[in-house]
Amino acid sequence: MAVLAASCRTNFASRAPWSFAENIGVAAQRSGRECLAILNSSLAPNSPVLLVNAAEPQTVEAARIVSRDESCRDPSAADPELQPYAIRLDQASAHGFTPVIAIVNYGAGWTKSDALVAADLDGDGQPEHFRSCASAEGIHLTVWTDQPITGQLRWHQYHYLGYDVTPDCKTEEVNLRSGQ
Amino acid sequence: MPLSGPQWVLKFPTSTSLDDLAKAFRGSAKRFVAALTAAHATVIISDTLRPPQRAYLMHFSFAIGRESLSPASVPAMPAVDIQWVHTNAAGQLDLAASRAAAEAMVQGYGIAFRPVLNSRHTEGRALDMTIHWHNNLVIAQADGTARTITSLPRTGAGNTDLHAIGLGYGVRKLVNDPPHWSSDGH
Repeated sequence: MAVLAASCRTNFASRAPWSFAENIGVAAQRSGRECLAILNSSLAPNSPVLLVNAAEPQTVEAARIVSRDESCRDPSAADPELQPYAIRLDQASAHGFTPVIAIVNYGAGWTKSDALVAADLDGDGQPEHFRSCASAEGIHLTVWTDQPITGQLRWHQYHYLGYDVTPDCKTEEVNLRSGQ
Repeated sequence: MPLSGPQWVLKFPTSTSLDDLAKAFRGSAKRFVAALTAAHATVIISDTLRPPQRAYLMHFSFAIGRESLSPASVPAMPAVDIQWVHTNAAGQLDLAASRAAAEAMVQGYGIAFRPVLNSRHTEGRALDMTIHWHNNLVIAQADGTARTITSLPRTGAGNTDLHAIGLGYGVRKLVNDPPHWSSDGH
């Protein structure tokens, strides 16, 4: 909650329409370091990043951009346009090897109730919610406005695990592209 | 019998070679990848065969380290002479040491979610590959005729025209997992 409280004091970095595609990516450990894959090539070093572990109970961690880093590039990434960054967590990682949703240029309006985190990312007065689910060998991370699954999909990214797991995704969470 | 621990992580590595696929699928995969390569698509193969021994080690290290499975109850697997049970000086089960060794394996493998024991990868009937190209893709179909793909996206993950061509070779796309292709789409 300390991270959420701090983030509530952060103002939107820009008045331009908030881009889900450019401001949300996936952070995960890669070769012993924390890496971010995002469709944004202009993130400056030391920019704040908020990491949302969408597995329940959902948690939030604070991090910062270190630099663009090609060693963070995942050759198995479905989208070759994803840009690789090294990031540094403010505290010891709580998410371990679990891939998490990484948000930059985030604003106010973060809340946490029960096991779920929500935030009005684009400032339209409607909260966004976070989800993760497993397919056969990867994780689908999604952001939804209003309600997960039944609400409006705003963002989706796949993270390849490299080993087989038990799928638990719903149809709405896979094989899709967000409106962005 | 060697005790469990992080030294096991380097054994039974995942293959990236098409030669390690099961014979029934190997030819199909090779022909499809050869057609992609000849068409100047970029093909990056990340995984082919995941040895069953590796899946066993990953599955049970996670079960012991994270899910409280008793190390004494793990079934043996032929050709994997691992000792999951660590003992104390008196020869009794040392549960803490057993769990710590299993957890060290979990960390070494980088496991976040429970690995399954069996899959098309452990059967040698699946490969993970990232495919992308520029402009149009002129590719030989399984019957030898050429087909030009003009549709988007220019990736193996999302281009349904390429999925249809793969099917002609006997390589089916699992759309829920962008890099994954297999003998039957699972």
